[in-house]
Amino acid sequence: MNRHQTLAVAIKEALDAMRDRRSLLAVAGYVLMGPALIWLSFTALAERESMPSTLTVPSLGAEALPGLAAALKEHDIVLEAVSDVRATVEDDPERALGLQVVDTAAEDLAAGTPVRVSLVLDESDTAALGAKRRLQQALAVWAQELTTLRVIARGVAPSVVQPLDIQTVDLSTSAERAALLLGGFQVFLLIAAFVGTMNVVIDMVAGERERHSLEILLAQPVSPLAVITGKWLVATAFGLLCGVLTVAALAAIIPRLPLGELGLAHVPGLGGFGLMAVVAAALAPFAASFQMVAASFARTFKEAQTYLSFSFMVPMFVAMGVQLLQPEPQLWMQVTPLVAHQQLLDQILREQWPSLSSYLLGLTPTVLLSVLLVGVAAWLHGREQILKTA
Amino acid sequence: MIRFDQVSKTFGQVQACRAVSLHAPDGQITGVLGPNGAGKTTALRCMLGLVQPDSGQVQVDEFDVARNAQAARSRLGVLPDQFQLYVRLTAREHLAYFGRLHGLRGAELDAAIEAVADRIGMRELLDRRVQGFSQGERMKVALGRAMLHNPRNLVLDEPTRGLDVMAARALREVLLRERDAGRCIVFSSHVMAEVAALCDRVIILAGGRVTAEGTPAELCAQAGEPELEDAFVALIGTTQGLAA
Repeated sequence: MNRHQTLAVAIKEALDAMRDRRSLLAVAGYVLMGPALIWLSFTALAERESMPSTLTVPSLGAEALPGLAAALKEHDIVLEAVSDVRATVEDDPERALGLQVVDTAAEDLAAGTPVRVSLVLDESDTAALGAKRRLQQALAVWAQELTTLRVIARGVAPSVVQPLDIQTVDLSTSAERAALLLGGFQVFLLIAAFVGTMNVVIDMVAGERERHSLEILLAQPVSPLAVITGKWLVATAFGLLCGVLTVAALAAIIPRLPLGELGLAHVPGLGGFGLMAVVAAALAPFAASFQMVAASFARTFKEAQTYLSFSFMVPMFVAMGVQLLQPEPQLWMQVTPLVAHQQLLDQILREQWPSLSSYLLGLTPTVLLSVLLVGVAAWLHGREQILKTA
Repeated sequence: MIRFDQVSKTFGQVQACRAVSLHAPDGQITGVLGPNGAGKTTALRCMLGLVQPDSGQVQVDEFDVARNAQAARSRLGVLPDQFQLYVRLTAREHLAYFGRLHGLRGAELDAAIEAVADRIGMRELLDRRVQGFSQGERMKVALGRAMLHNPRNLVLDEPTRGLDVMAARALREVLLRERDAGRCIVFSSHVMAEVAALCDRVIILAGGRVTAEGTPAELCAQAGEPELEDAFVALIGTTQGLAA
């Protein structure tokens, strides 16, 4: 391979890519979209958590249950007597949940049979669902108190009807709680390099083929390996850029999130973000070469877009799979591309700083695999089939 | 000089080239005529080492393409069908890119770009992006790219397609000048009048075979037709594939 030729290809592709608005827009859009989505979802989450403390519930027939109104009031739930619960819930957007107590409540209560209470709501409305959960919990507490009174009245110790006393002992540190909540960011970081490389790769691999310019390029005294390596360097640079900018955007947005309202006092420091940038950027050579191999099978721009949009699924599935399954840490996880990156990001978020050997162990196989994939893409470009166009 | 010796190539069931033998000498313009599907593209790809023949040999100057494709390519300047340019690059960037691929660098590259721009008359195009170029301007960039490294052999695949009269005329003038400078020029076209006027020798390909060759006058005599177009139809034995 001639390094001057590789450099020539890289210069041309860099010029071409920087003049292609699509490639730059993809990077800029992603860098801005991620933090914007995170900011919106966190703000919404914080707003919901700090919902107006008093929940007003239109009700009918609740006065037949003595003490209920007072008990609910302890949970900041106020009952408001209305003549038609259903109509109120349907018409008044401020009243998303209603309570209807059966006519025979007083008799049922006296007879010791269950009193039917109906929660009236639109279950497709998420705000109503939150209110329903709250009212259900308050009703359950009241019902439990009633049960206790009833069994005491019959000379039975209340503990008999409570076989379990469930307590939660929370051992998590605030960094770990933050890591759980910030875990969603890992997916953003793992995909960043793939987003940065995608448009560039599509244009310079499948686009070159579709425009028929590949044939004249390969007709020059240049090896496919030199051509592919030059293209790979430029795609990698775009992946690096997108990875680093995504981390920078997150570093800018995370300290401004209402994390305090969610009970999280902890956010990663500048050093943490720096290490995350290293891990996210280290995926760029792999993302570029992986997508170049996939794009080598596409004869047109559109075909490559279809193949390469699936390439996002790989980091997404890996990140989600590891988070859901939470497997015991093993060696294969430390060396497998994406899994290793995900593990490193997770440790950095938890402030369990990985050692230098963890970085080397995690990032080296990815680089080696990238070099191998560059070789595969070059081999694919040396075949006669690469000249076939749509 | 370009020589094909008994070159055959099959793709699946399709025999694209059947024992093709031809010789394009230096200092001449050799026209290659053939209906669509005649095997011209496959022959061109064999010449460039992009496709390996099943049998036979292709030679560019002293190099056997199968053994030394890189050296053979460095002796060839190719102007492909549809020109195959990058619309976001300027003409100068095209020339610089391909010049570097041919090993030109620094002052040598700059001098080569200036020289070829003068030879083709494209100086005013150098620093404009190809995006808004007319077909004639695109042809000039593609021709400049093919000639930049001063190859002994020029291969042009339907270079006049889509060109206006002035651009086609300018191209013909460049080709005649390069021929007189001793270059081997291979030229394919569907425009018979142009082939008759420009080519010293004509090779007719049909169904993957060379069906006739000679000067335009010899081909007319061989077919017993006064016009090259009628001679061509008679010599390929069918009107199929001429629609383009």
